[in-house]
Amino acid sequence: MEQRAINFKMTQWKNVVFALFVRQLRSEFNDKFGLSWAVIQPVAFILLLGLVRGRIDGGLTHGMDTFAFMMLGMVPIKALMLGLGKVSTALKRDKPLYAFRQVQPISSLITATMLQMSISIAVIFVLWVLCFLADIDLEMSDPLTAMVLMALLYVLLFAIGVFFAIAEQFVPEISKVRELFTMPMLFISGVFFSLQDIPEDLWFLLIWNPFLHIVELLRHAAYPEFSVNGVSLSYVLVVTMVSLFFSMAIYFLNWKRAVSI
Amino acid sequence: MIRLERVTKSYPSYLGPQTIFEGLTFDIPTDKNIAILGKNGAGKSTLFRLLANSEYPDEGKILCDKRLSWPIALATGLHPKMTGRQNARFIGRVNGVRDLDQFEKKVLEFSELGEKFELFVQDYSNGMRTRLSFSCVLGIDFDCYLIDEATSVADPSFRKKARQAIIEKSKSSNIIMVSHKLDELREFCDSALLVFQGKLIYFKDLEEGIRYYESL
Repeated sequence: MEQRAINFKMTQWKNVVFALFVRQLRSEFNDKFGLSWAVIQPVAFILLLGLVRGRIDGGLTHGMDTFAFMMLGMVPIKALMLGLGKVSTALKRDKPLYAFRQVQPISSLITATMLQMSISIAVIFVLWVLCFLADIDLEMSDPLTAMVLMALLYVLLFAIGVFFAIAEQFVPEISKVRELFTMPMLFISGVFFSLQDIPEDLWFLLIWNPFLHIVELLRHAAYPEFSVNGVSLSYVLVVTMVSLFFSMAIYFLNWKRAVSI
Repeated sequence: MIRLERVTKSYPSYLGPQTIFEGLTFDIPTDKNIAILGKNGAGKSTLFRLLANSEYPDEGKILCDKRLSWPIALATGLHPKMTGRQNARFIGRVNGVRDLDQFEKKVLEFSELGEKFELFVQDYSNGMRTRLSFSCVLGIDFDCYLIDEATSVADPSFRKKARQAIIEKSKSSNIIMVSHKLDELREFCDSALLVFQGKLIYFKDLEEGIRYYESL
């Protein structure tokens, strides 16, 4: 393709993703609470569980503040739980829009992921302000690693979401399987406990889960004194790349048929 | 010229795949206003959606050197939970309209929706929806406008206006239209394309096409 054609394509993509983004913001939150609900709901959830847990065990978990411990687990997992639902249903929700030839399903999938990402950023900001006001000391000693981990979380979320979005077009019942798979995520991803609390010979039950790795590594990035064993960044990286590859392959083979059904 | 090259399209069903077109090759001229004729289930809407690239053939290609609009039907493209104005902006953005404010104004003016422009589309009547989507599509320059039975719910005065706008545009653009109402087709079109048993037949003269269609 010549340069001009590529530029044209890129502008068109940008236009479409932006238009979808605005449209989703508008249409999804047009009740009285508006957009604020998207932020209030996870913040309230995180605060409630974090504070209750902090009360019960007296303040410190593995050398870090229990509230911070809970928060670092809950922010990514809550984003995963909410985001997976959004991305997987994005294709179906935007179906009438594929009548516009410029709008392709991948744009709605990317938009849904970006929307969840913006919501997470807002949630983190609100939590940070609340902690500042409540005099809770938060540390973040390695923000770069934390950002890489969050970015990987979103790529992985996107990949899994695309897979479900396509699969649910052919077999709608798969959405039930997805819900079943999302529910326990809160419990098996180390939000309430650390991998270090589990006896080592039972690790094999949990360490296949890349989100557990992300949570543990996030805690380590924030509080270096929180020591991690049995998790690795390269595992997360490999799982993310492999899932992204497979879900993109599935997407490109099936999207034209998925639009027609 | 829109060229269909060995186009095959089928839909899955529990009775097995329902084939609409198989290995269809055809050239559709784009220098005339074409009415698409055919019985229910013959594949009119499928053909239409294929032309618009809203759906894609299982095999084969559709080549087109013209800028085609999106198919204007009752339900496509409008979000019920957004206002008329927000919908117009969305359509403008997706189609790369530079000056959105001006586009908005143009749509409002042509549709004559007045303050109802600020209402949610879910509260619109069918006729109002048609007005909105028609005004949006006419606000953007295309070589060919695709209209799918949408005109039938508009009132005569708006239909006249739409027809006027299309005639004004007809120096540079054309329409392709699906409808079961023959007077409406006579109002807008001058040639016909018959969809019959997975084949296409083109008639230069609309009346000739209608006569053939009625004799089937």
